[in-house]
Amino acid sequence: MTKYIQKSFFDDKVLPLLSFLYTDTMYGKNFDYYRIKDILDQYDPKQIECKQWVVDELLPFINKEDEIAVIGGWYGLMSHMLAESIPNLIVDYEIDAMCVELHDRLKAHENISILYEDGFQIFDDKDLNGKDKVIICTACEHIDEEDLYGALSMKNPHSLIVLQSNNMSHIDSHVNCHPSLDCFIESLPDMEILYKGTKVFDDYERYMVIAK
Amino acid sequence: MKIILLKHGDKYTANDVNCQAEKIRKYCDHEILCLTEDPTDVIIGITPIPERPRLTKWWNKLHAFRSDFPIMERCVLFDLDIDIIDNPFPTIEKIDWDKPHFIHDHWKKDLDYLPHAYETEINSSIFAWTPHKNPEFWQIFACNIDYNTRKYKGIDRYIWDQKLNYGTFDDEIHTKIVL
Repeated sequence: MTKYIQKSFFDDKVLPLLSFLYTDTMYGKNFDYYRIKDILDQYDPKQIECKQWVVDELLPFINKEDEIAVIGGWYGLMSHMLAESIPNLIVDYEIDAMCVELHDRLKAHENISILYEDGFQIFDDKDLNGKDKVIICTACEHIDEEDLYGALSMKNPHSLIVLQSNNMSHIDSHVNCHPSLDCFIESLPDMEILYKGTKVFDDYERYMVIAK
Repeated sequence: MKIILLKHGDKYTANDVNCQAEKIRKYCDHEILCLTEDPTDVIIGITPIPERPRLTKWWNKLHAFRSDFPIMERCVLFDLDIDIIDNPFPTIEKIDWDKPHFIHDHWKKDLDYLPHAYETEINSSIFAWTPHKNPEFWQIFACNIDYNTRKYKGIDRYIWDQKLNYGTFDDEIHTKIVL
């Protein structure tokens, strides 16, 4: 795990947050036990490896003036790992208010801004849908296929998009899985593909596309 | 009253629906409808699963509590994998229709689960409800679908843990069906 993330982040941020949540669930009703499991799942080694995959493949395409939007940022792992490597402004969009609050407690970099908003509004807003934008969504399996297609159809043709999905259709919260990388690409609007790849794990495959 | 059979994805076939409908017809003459996204080869009436938000598997049962559920009459849903061995309708028809009713798995009372196992004593293999009367069953779920479908292994645990206002059938229901 610490191969990609500094040990101090776990010591200073993650472990204190888990301790806080444990205590909070003993006496309060702000959070529930499952948040602890959900946060631990975020730091699953495969999750970290897949986020590092984004960082490694995306960095050659990023300019210093680019603003990065992470849609469905969960507890902020993607934003954190990007901020470990680049100083660009990173806006992390998340529609789960608890995720936003807990991400704020985990935040370690000043160039990350966390918004409790639907990130897909970017595509419907001419001020946000600019060409100097890099848009990342590593949770396409959680997003309705038609909604994703519709949003991406409105994308500024100059902006860069990074998408990940997988073939784990047995997971209840996964409503948009694909059996292969090609099937995933076929489900998207026509775009100029700059990178595509498959990461094969022992129990599933994850697909990534970088496109304009 | 309407009878609802849910088929989503490929776990069950149209034949499973048609066979279960045939078994239920032995005990009642209510209209039987299939709630599905794929009506191919289903020979009973269809009520489509709403397209948005897209849910998977048994989570589609929760569409039954939406304010736009297209059926107005009292409803009973039967899972496709339960075996009906005697007439369950006398037990079902005597419930208080002001709140949804589920099967009570009373034997689970003796299991020593901790709270964060989210174990449940209710079972939605059969449930009865009056459409549009208890929208909170859908509304609470819909506030955070992604989290709820990660947190709970099925709607029974969700309903139990959220302490929603439901009832349970008389235990005699267990003599009418095999789960």
